[in-house]
Amino acid sequence: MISCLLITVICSLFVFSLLTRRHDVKQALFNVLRHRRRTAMTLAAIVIGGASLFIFGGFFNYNLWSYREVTIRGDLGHIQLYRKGYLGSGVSSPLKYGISDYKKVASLLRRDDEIGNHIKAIVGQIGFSGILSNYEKGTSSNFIGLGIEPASSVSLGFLDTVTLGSDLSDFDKGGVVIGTGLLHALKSDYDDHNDVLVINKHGGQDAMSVRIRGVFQSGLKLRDDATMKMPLKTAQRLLGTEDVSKVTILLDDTNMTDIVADRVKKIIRQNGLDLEMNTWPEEAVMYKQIVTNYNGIFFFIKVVMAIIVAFFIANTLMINVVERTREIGMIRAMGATRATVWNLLFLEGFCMGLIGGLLSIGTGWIIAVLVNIHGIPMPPAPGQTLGYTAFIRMEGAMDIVWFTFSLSMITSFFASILPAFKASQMIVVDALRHV
Amino acid sequence: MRTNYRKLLHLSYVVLVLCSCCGDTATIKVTDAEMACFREAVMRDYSNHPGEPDSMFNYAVLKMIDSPSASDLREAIMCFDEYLRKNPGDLYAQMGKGYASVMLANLYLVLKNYFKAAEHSKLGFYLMDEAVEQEPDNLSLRFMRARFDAQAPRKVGRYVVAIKDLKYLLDNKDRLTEGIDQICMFLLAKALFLSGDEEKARRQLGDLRIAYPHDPMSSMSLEQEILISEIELRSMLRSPWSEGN
Repeated sequence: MISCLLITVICSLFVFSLLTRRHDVKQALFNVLRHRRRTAMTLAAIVIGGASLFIFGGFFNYNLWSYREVTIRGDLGHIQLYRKGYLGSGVSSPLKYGISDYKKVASLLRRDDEIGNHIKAIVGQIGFSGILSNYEKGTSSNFIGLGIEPASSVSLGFLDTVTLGSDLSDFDKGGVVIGTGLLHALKSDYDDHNDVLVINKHGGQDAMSVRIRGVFQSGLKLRDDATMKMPLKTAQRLLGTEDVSKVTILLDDTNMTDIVADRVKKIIRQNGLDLEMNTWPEEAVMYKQIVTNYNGIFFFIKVVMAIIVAFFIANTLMINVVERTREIGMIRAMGATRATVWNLLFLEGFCMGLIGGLLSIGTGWIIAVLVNIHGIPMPPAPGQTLGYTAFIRMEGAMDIVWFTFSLSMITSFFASILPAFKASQMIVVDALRHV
Repeated sequence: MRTNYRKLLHLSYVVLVLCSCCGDTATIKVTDAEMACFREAVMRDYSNHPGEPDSMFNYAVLKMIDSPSASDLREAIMCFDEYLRKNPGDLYAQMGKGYASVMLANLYLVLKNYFKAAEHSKLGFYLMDEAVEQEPDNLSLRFMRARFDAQAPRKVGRYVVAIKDLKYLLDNKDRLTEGIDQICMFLLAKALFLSGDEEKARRQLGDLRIAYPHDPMSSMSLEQEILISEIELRSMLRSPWSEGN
């Protein structure tokens, strides 16, 4: 907002000069082109600073974007539907707050003209926990179970990389997929049979023999150490229920979340469905904490970088004025007023800012493209076990482009004020005597 | 064209498997004239009957051979989708879509688009698995999956599935077309090698050398990509081995 205001002021001053002092504009442009070495130095200062900020912004942007998408597409989804009362008191006993006919809800949402096209998947899930045992090896471990339709797990949870065997299948009802940590804890292997013990919907115990058809790694240690996925129907049979504990909606674009959520609320109300809803920002507590923390750190770094860049540019412009003292004296001796000198230096600063801003974006863009060829190898994020390759994200990064451009323009403007004031206050004979 | 549909399908898959698994090292000896004829027939069929399922199927397969680009593969997936809408139970089309998805994932991986690569790879293997698990006794489908899995990178962990499939195929040797069992033996050696059991892999290769001393595959090393001779290819095509399965 402030940057928009300042840019408007700067551009208004330029337009005013263009209308009232067209000769000064021509002269300023001529000066910029004439002093090639100085112009090159000043532009280099602006471009190095601007491009650095552009790349840094893109890198930061990628990290936040990828973390957001990993959170959503890993398991969470964009919108979550629960039976009314679940969010208040059903979290501890999810089976008592089941959604009985989720396919009807899914078809209702899919058929909606407004949001149907944006829905990538509607996934019914059932969450439970229990003990998984490998009697042959004498091992057992607690697990967090997830019953999910195998076809849906291709869209939701696709970042859980299968490292051994296959993913869930509709035709292998007894086949489950478990995390790498859980596999090691059980000392099991691919195709081994294990026994699952759970508390069913009615509070009794139920057991089932399952076969490990796949092993996955999500990169989150806690998840890999405890998660077991099984086909939804198998989980329902095991738990003695026909319900699902949650319906997750995955969209084709995260930016559509609010629009779709509003429409889903209306559909729930209009059809009198016994459901309540959450969106991903409300559920992704850890994501929010990390992003708030990162934003604070990155804002501080951005401010420090912006100050350094501003001083760098201001210093170069000051040196310019000092080097041109005699020239300014000459202009004054020829009859130019203080206002003319001030205006001339302001316009030179404006030109530098404009060209420098555009060059910064261009240079930043080229460097980003080059960096993106191989990416930047990064160590694992907090709580994760796998490193990742970071990139400089430029898609939809208008805020970075604007920040880079406005920083160049505003810094050049403010950096030219003091030298312009000093130059306009010079005594003509002193300026002419300056060596 | 229509009567040769099944034959075309087999030719397509064999070529496809070779292209996707062996890359540049594949020395398939189908003559240029034969391939040109195949392509022309498919293209003519597709342009004359654009909406018909069979022509879409063949066109999709054609789009997947000869180092396909991402847009070729996307087009192939669209054609398979269209075909599957009209023939929902066709497991070969499902397998084909699975192949196309994994191949597309590979291209996305090269482009470092990891999200799309993960999504397509997961979808591809899921479709292949579903195709085989719907007809677990279909040797042709099992071979197609095993051929792919036995040469997939170790980190994908598909070698365990390949070992299971290949053991099943070799247990049903009498139902295999001549020439296929040596490919299965070699692929099993490769899958065992990928699993880290080098000793078993070498033993398996030794068995192949004893059983088929004059077969070109016997002289291959485990690190080598699989090659297939013209005779083997022809024998597969001469007697479609999915018959009766």
